[in-house]
Amino acid sequence: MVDVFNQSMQIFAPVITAIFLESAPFLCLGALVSALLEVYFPQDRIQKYVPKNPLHGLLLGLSAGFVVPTCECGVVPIVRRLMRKGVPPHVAIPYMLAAPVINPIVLASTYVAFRGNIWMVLGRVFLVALPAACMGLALIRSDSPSLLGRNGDVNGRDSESDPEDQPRSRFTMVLLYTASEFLEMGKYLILGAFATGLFKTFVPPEAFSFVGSNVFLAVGMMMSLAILLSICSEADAFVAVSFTSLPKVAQLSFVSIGPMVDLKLIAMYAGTFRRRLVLGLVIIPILMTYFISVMLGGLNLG
Amino acid sequence: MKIGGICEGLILLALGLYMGVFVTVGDYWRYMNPKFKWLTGTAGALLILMGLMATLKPTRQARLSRILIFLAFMSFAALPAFEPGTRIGGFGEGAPRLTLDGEEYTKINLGELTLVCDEVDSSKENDRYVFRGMVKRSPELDGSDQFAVLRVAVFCCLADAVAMGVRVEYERLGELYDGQWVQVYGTVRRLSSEMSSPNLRVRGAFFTMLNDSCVIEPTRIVSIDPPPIPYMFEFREAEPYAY
Repeated sequence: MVDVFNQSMQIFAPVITAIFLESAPFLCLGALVSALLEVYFPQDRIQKYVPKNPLHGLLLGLSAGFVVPTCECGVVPIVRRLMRKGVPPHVAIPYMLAAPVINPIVLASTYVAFRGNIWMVLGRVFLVALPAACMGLALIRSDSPSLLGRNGDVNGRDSESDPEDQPRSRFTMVLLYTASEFLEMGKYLILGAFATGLFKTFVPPEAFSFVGSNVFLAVGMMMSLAILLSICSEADAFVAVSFTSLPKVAQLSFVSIGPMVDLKLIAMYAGTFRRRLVLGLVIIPILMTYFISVMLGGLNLG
Repeated sequence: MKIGGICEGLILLALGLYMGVFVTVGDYWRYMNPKFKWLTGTAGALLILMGLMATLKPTRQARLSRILIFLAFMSFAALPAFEPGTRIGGFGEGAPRLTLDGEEYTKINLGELTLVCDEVDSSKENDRYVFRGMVKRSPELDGSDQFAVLRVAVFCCLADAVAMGVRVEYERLGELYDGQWVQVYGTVRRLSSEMSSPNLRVRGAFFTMLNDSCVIEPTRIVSIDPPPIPYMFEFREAEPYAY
């Protein structure tokens, strides 16, 4: 029993440590950007940049990753802050879903991982942009305060780190807000890492070896793996490529669903948004990615 | 009560120091691709700054759940072996080729060799390569007089580690055992049809990618000591390969 425990710890502990070490810099960056938004950008100044036309706002959200690239760990605190500042959900949520993929760094790594296959890059963009756009369209009539969870009040101030009685410099406030944001999001990151660590420690890879070339099973299996393994969007393409015996659409579904839905993200969504939005953020990308991938596989496009 | 705020500040400070020490003297390569050292170091410095500020000017809104979760994580992070001083060498160290019996062999790592195997055609089948990795045997491979040579590739962190490797044809399989490190000199031969992949598992990697389109015809197989850094972190598309 002791041996089994020791062997399990030798897998579990390094995996969760690695996930945290990999994600922590991006979470720091996201928390810092969130803090800078809070301290330096009052609500009316941010809302000047939001297009009045909802479709333009949606397009802005989908493409903003090119200007403000961030991985999936760092984007959640940024979006939370933006929504607290009144950025409408049809801009913020598509940005949250699309930015971890539709940015120059991830597109380049995808291109390299798939050996210059531009269709895999375009396919990845398509499979991410479509659910992100659908979420944005579904939220056009919603307002941000009704979608945010209990943390933070609706006026945009972070109730966790309200200034003390004495005034503080902006530099101090930025650091305190960053710390608070990092701790709040970090706890969900750790919970997600624990879940991934348990999966990798106790589930044998052979459990996923039965699918063969059946598109329905292969896509489902790869999407499940992407969600359970919580691999970052810069490295997932290299992992997907290693499944050489599976259809290309299965590899495509792996790299598309992971940056939108995985165990880390589900934990972070649950801590940030209200339940109905969390359900939408999980269910809609999964269903759309699955059915589109299977359809592409059925058309022999991958 | 500000004690909670002070605790959170100390947690951030401890995390920042952990990351800083890890980058400078710890076995960073065991968890992360070394090319991200600068990123981890920068995050560690920011965490130290945040931790100092949060400790000196604690807020009243600390949360017990955050403190407990971070403390639990830190207890697991402290568990793995922490052996300082295993410095990682330069990739592609030394000459790009080795000579054996008057013939030159290109040094290449298993990840790079996998790419070569995917692109090999008749013009490349006589190219000579030397690579190193861990022996992996299975009944399916034994039945074809083959064994696998695998090595773990880490692209970002341990969570995305993939064991990559090739098949090697060899009749005297009794000389080899699972986990043995070998250096193989040989040429690549394309298989007439792809073989089915056996289930192989390597410690540290959830996935295993065995190239099924080619096989290595060895000239020589040498038993070697495991390298100080068993993982692969860099993959090049042309010489000099990272090896």
